[in-house]
Amino acid sequence: MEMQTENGSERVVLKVEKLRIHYATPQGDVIAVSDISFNLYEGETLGLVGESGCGKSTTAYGILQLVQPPGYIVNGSIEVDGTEVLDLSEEELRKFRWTGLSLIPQGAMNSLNPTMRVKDQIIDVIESHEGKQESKEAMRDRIYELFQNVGLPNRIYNMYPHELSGGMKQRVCIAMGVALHPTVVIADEATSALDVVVQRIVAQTLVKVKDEIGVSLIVIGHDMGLLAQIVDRIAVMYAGKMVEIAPVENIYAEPLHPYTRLLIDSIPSIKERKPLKITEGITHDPRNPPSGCIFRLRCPFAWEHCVEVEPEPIDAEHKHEVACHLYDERFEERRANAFATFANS
Amino acid sequence: MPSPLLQIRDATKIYYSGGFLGDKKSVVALEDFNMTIDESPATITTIAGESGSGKTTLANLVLGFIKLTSGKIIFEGEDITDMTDEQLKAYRRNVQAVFQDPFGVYNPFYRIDHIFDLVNKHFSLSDNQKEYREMVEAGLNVVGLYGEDVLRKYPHQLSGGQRQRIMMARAYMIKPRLIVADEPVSMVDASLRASILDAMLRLRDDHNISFLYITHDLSTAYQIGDQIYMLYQGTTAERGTAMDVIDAPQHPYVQLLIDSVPVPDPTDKWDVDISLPSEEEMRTAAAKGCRYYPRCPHRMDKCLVEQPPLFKMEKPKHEAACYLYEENEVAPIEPPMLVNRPMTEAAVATAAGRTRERMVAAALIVVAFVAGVLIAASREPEVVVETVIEEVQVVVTATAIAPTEPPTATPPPTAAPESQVIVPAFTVDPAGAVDKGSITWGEDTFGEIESADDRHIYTFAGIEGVTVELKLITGGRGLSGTGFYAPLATIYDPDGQIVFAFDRARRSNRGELTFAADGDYQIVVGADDRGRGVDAYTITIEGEAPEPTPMPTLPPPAFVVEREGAVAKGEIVFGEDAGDEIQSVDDRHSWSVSGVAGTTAHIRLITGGRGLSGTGFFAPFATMYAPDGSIVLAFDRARRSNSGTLTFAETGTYEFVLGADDRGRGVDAYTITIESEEG
Repeated sequence: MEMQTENGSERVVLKVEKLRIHYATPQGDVIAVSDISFNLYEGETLGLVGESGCGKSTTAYGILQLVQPPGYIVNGSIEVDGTEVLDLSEEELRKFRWTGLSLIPQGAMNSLNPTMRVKDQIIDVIESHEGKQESKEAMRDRIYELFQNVGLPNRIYNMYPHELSGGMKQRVCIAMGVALHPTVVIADEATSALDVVVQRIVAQTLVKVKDEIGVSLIVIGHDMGLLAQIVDRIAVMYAGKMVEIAPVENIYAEPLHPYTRLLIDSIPSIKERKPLKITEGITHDPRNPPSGCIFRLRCPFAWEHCVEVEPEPIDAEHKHEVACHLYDERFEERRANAFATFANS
Repeated sequence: MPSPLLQIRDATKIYYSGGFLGDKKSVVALEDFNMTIDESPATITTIAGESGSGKTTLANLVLGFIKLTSGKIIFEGEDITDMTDEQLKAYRRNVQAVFQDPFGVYNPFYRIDHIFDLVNKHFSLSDNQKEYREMVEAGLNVVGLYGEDVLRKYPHQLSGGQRQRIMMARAYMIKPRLIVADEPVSMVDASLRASILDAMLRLRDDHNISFLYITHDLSTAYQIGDQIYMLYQGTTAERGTAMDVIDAPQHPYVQLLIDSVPVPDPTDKWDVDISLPSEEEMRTAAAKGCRYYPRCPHRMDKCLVEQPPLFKMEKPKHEAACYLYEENEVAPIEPPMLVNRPMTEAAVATAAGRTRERMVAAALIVVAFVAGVLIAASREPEVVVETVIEEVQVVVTATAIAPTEPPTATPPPTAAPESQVIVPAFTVDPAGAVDKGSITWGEDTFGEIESADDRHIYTFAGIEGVTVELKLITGGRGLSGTGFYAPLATIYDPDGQIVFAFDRARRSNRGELTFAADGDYQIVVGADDRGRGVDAYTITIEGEAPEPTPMPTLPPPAFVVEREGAVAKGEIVFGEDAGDEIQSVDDRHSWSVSGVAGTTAHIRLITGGRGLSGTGFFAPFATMYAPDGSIVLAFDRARRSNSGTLTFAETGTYEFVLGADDRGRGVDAYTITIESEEG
């Protein structure tokens, strides 16, 4: 069913199902990503958020087939526009990167080749997929157009990465990421090392380019404030699990999962001075996760059922899923009581 | 008035790089920065700004990792650069640090208790094992942790938040007065940050420990900060309480910064796109005047002339450095307060036995002076007058100060001393410059310094930017290593601020002073640090005298020279052989340069073989104007370099205008080299 909504179309461009990624260690496997499933719709910007070590970057690298040993994909399916990425050969995969899926990496300063001019790095990306280009002028114009898309001046064409500021380097990475008009672009903490004004410029650039070129975007980050500004939906991960995925307006107005509530509550405000809300971090061993719900050791609402049964994603609303027993119809009364008690305490 | 814990006055830090034969490049990381943290109640003072704003430089200066280029850092009344080893040791105890990376500071092979053992060893907290264990437990409890949960663990078994709190506990055990926390939460997950901030609040409120909280995260500053300083390129753009500044920012940069902090509300999105000028513009155009000029939406011509001072805003203590508020009062820089150093028993006895009359001259001066002064005596008079000092006022005070009295009132330093005033004994050369010369005083002349309350005051003219060497000799003996047997002498600038002191802490009878402003400087000489009188001394001041300034007013621009075509590798050379020189402050040489958009030119200016050296500026002022008349590059005193890079934003004729140097002296030869890649 094709239907236009506020947040883009209903056409799924990326379908991730039961993706599971482990890291092998001498003491046993660490479960980095635990059977996560989600859809990315055409033209959508999806934020993937969680604390360090929650598996958000590993998920991205899994989708891109870039998981490095000792990490490995245990099972799952990743479909981009109907193509099963996990079935592609090395050669096909190489072609698929940049055109089907591309990455804007974390810390642009380290991902550009310091010995190559900016233009040569972009030409490299284009020619590796489209072969040697005949016209130098046409190539230059194409790169100038990319520069224009990301708000870079043409004069950096001949420059080396060290001559650029952090914000400019990050924009060069964005230009490379969209150079071949991929279906899905994944931006991994693309703005987190930047100053706040530059961060704003880069984030706005990212959204503008996405709209102009018509790609779908996954933004990985930990800054809930920044994500509120630029994404359409947010997927919240905790210890390798996806605990909630929802339209951005819903998740800030009424977070459902207790962990999402904690995340939203712990965003420090610059509008209002509030008492600090103190919580402890992950307390379980990632090699040996607790039974039942992954969050139950930190959850103020957990009861026996959470110890026994692992919650499955529940459809709360359109495009809104939450993995928490409290939203199971059977426990509606418990939910009402729990939240009332919590609000009073 | 609360007494200050930490005072930073006119702190400037310049990093130099390169320059064996060529020109040194310098980066001004911090410029004329002023700050006061009160002793009580303890506060959290936030230093915020983007990378390169100087905030980490400031942290490193306060921690003593690096030294100031100029200015003062005064902790509990003691200038840290003048501290003795013992005082420094105490200072390091009193000022602790917590760093950004909660992973890097731990040795992964040791359990957590090892960190506390090291502290105990280093600071000798307790020999008693039981007592020591209790101290560790108490420290951990303050930050919300328990020994049994963490002490036997390895660092990797703890969260970033726990690790940062352990660093706070460690700092707490040493019972410091101040903790410098450099981005303590930025590497810690959002949901765990609150625990660290809470630990900071507890240390502040329950244990009277102040924080210098260095961060780029304005929201945490807003939640827990008391005062905030917003830095921009090494200067304070705005300061005030965190609430006032963040709720109602006044400086255009701070407004943009706060508007750019992403609001965690999808219904309140950024409404406008912003852009930044190119890197080159940001660096070069701000060489003089307001650093924010190239980016500022409200910029005015006067912003290029001089760095704006901090103007007072409506709320108390809220100040912004922007000419938009020039009708407001300029915020005064509080004079530094130095405390009375402990006197030797003998000195205390002598001082106590003396009559105490109040000297009228600036109580502040007096206090600082006394603070420094009391030392020992010398005999043989020696008098030399070589060259001179204009209008040296010799003021021999008959009576003086109550050295032990606290600085309750602060009469202006201009008040006339209740004393015998002897007018200039010597005259000076007409240039009025500080010249090679000395002030010599001895029993053959007038009165000696007879008691701890006696003062000799000399006035001399200082010229901005000139550096003089100072030497104080008493009866042939100098100030030796630890024993100080010379009069204490202090130099005050025209505003009454102490800019130099020969005192016990100095441990040298020599020094150097660069005048920050033109005007009358005063040197006040008193008894030695034992309170004994001094009957002869010589103060020698050696400085480079400015050349006499011929100042005939000549008609404007002598001529215009065209250089054709694009900027290419080439030179504009001008010298006395070529014809007219820059003869006066009103003379201008104007050169037209064709710039090609996108081309970057490297421009170097050399005067008569000399470039612009570090602090002394002896070259013509030169300014480059874009075709639309805006200034794109300026060689001036603020630049402190004779080279610059300029990327032409548009194709057209750029004007390069040269004038006299910053002393108003003419220039008779110069070379401008322009090197660039063809566009």
